[in-house]
Amino acid sequence: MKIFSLFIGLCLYSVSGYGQSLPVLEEVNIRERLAYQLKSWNNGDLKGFMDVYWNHDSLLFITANGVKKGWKSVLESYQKAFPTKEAMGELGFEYYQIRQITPHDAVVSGKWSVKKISQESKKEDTKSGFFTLRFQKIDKQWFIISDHTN
Amino acid sequence: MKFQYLALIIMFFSLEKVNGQTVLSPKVEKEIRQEIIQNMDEELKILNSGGSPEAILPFFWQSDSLTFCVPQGVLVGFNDLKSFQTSMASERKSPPGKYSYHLIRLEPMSESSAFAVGQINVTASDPSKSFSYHFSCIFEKKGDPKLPKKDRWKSWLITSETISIDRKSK
Repeated sequence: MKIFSLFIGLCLYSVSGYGQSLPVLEEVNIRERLAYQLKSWNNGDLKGFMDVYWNHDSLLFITANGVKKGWKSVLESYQKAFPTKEAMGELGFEYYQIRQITPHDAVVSGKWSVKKISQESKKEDTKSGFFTLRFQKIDKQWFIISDHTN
Repeated sequence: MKFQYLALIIMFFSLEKVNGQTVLSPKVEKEIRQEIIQNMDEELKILNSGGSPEAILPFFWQSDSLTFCVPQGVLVGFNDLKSFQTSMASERKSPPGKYSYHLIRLEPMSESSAFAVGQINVTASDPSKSFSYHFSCIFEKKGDPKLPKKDRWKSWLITSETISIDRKSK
């Protein structure tokens, strides 16, 4: 009977991730991660911005230029495109939907905009586009594991 | 009683966790991949037989939570996608060309969800009109769960899709 109870306990532990429904809390956690990313960018801190991306060779970054794989490759492309705080400009996010797919997977859709002073015209210039981020909870923390920006 | 123990042991090991995530058995992963690939093949068949953009709507989740992200914006809800596809269909004079795709990643996320990334090439009879785009999709099992094995691919629906037109082909 003891063995039977032990198995019941182990099974309950193993399915615990599915029984819980904490979408509000998880959404708050994801929003906090995005707020941190935004703050880092606007402080010219590319490293802080990149901390929200999964530091792994499997990270995917998809744009009109194709697919980049791996955290290091994504960092390098950001460093090349935005070498200074001025080049980074002021980033803004607008969220359309944050939806949890499984207890450890979520998808975020939204709009990004970057406002900066044009080097040529010296006038304020705003560029914008749309994105879908796939977040995954890894070791109790949410990370972007795929970013598709157009 | 022995059978009960065995069932519990199987249940425990089938839900093994790594970093808090469920690990699917290779058999389940293989089945999911086959079903998703069949789903995508069927969608392409419709497009290649001259089907209009509206003809592929049954492949999408009929929900207000569906998202479809294109360079023009993010459509939220099936009705917005339907209007978008209808408008695309009315603007289209003829099918743009032959569609083919290659998968870059197909990753089952759970027994009822999967993530796919790939590239679609549209080859037109006039090569200057050929183009390509990348897509990333979340597929979820939202359709009839009681379908026979051969039709199980139909239970997978796209719940979120993002498209970016390749710069080289613009």
